[in-house]
Amino acid sequence: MMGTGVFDNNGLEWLQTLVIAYNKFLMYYLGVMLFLAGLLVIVGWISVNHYVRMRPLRDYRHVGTSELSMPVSILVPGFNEELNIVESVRSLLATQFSQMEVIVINDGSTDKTLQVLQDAFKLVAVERAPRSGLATMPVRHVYASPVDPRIVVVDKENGGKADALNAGINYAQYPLVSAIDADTMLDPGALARLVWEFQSHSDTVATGGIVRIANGSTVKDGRLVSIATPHRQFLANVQIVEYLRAFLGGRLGWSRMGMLLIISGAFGLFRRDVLVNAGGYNGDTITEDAELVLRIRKYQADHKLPCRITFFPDPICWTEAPTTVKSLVRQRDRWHRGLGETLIRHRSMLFRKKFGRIGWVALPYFWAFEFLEPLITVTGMIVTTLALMFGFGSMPVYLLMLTFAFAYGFFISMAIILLEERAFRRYPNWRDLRRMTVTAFLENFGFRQWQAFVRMRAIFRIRSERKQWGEQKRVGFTRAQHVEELPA
Amino acid sequence: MNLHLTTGDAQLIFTLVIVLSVLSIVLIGAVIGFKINRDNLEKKSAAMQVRVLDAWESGDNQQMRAVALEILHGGVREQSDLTSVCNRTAGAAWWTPERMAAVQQSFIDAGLAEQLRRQLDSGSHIRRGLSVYIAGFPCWQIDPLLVERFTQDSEPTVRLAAVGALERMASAESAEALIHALEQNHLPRARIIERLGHDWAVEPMLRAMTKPGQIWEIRCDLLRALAFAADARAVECALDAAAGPNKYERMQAMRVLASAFAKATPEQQQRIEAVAIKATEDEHPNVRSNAVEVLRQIPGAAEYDRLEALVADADWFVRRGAARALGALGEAGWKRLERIADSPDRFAAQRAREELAMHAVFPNYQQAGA
Repeated sequence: MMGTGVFDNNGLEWLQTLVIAYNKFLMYYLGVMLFLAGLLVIVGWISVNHYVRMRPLRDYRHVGTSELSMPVSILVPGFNEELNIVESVRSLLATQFSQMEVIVINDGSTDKTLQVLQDAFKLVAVERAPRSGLATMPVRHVYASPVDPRIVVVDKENGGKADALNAGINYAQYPLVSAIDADTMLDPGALARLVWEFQSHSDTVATGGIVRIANGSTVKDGRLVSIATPHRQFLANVQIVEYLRAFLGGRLGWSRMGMLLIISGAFGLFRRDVLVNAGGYNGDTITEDAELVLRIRKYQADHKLPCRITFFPDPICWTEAPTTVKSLVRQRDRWHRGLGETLIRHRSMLFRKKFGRIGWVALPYFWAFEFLEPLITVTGMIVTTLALMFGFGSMPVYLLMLTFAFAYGFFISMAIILLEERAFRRYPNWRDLRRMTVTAFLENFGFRQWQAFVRMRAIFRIRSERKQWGEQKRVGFTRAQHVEELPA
Repeated sequence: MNLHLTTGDAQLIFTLVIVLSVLSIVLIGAVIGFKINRDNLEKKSAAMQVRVLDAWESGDNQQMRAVALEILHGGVREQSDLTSVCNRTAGAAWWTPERMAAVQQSFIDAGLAEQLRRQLDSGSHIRRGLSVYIAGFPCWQIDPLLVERFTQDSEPTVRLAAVGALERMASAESAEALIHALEQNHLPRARIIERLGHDWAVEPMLRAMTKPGQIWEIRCDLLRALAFAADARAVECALDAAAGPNKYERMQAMRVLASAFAKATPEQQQRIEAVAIKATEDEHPNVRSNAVEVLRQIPGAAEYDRLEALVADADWFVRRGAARALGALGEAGWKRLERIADSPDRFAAQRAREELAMHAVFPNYQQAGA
């Protein structure tokens, strides 16, 4: 298939050379990226298969009840979370794990977060000495609950999410610490499964569980009573597919290869001493969760300490996804800026022998195929348009390439949906399966390109204003599900 | 120079697109197939478990042999169903000696016992693990020595399944196997200690404690497990360890004395109290802290002054333990705490205030274990 462009102008020839070179680079880049995406899915498949087959042999019930199980302090930082906080705490208390405490950190909320907690759990101010000295904004009061001695509420002055988490670490009394977002709910057996990982591998320093979208599901007394995808909410549905792809295809693969770099801030479990030694959460970052994992890896490598960080596909934490374009843009912008900032901050780990695979494989991948990918994709779109305008390329070829990329994206999504269906079956209805399949197909037409623009914009905004808390407008689980269940 | 593909390249990409599209359609089909199949499998699985339970409950040898044959000719799924039934019937009351004998015989008659034994040598983690997991349930009892080697298996899940099986076997032999696993150090120690803390393991543990050349780390672990067993037979051994030169052994010995105090003879209780009082002056804070726990067990212990002094101890855990011990003594202890709360020692005062506040919030604070 040959083109017909004729150029007698040096400038245009130079442009032609540039455009063609860039397009070639783009083809190789996309080829490598798609190959690696496929590889991660294959590794994820192997990992899930192994996990599912061994699952009947794992005595999680014993982990949940044994006196010698490692006890867990669950930290729930909250800022203006009056809609979700009580449901969230109740869900955590329903967790099938005997030795735990739930520490809610009210980070100077301006709404009724503290009031609703006081009303629900009859809080009483108590004296409680901090167990470590991570620097935080002043703590006003520590409350205990006569309703349930496992609840502790730390009321402090506003300092941001990282500051709140550090305050929680200071008041945590157990060796394992789990950071959980206030707008999330845990599956009852989730904690025991994560603790199992620490108990079976003594070199584990942190482990993360899968985060799933609760929009469309029904919540009662802090627990999900039925799981479903939302009706006529493309944004929520597309995030369901995205989360599945990111966790089952991406993180599981990285975890299996011993190169996991991110544990979701929504649900992770850490060794408390490692957190304190590494300096706790850093308030000076946009995404404190991503930064923390890299800092822990750096600290452990610097001190020649073991550092096993894993991801578990089964322990599930449910969260509310943004349902408006504005809040989704804000979330993705924050995530991408956070990723970039973390990578830049820890650039000294790149290609260093002592960081092993992290420095030689994982970090270069994240630089090339996560952080810079939207920039390359968007410029690729622009250059391709230019090439077509000036007649450097032919439309059928580009359409063919585009179709290939779409088909590959859909294929990967379907492989992940199949993995979900084979291993976990969280969405029991045919309707949910249909929605996920249709969404996986439709997201290729506009949504992914739009996302690339949003994330590219974030690259240029890394140094811009940073909020202490991600500002997602909450509707609250119960109310959202009530609306969902109303007849149209 | 131009960005155009040769006919061959274009055909290749076109072929890839077609292949991917076909594969995607195949995947959609597979998702649908899995969904239908899994629905059926779940129903089959539930029915299988019901059949096994019905057969075992009926006591009919033919029926029991039939389900054993079904498991034998089935695969991993059928054996996983068997593990579910084993877990559901794990209560000792359900397993009468007659039922146990009948089910075990049906396993032997059907050849399932032999297959499970052969599976122990399987190269597959899951098959090996299933055999190890099922071992120790009343339906299939085997020699603990056969299971012990799996505490060193290459797969952590199998290692943990092995210690669970040894605990279920609940015999002196299985206790010895667990102690041997402890000595081999292939598993996190806590995972073995939690399985050893039972009365059937006390005698083997006491023997292991006095074994010539026994290293102090293992002695500490055994003392920890003995503390869980809360058995009076461990008192003498713990009293010896409490007087020994190793601070870690003294620390664990205090735990044993605290847990076994109620079951000890009056003469032993007097000796325990004397040892505990002496241990409150130990150089190691954890020994002092655990000694306070012993004093908490002694009804009406008149060691108020000693406990009051320990609220001002240099160690946080000792302060907490002493304050909680005073709090547990009731009115008299609370008065002491109120006095400490006004003392110039900032740390002691803080600890006492915290304890008083917790008592005010939780009427049953000590029992709640907060």
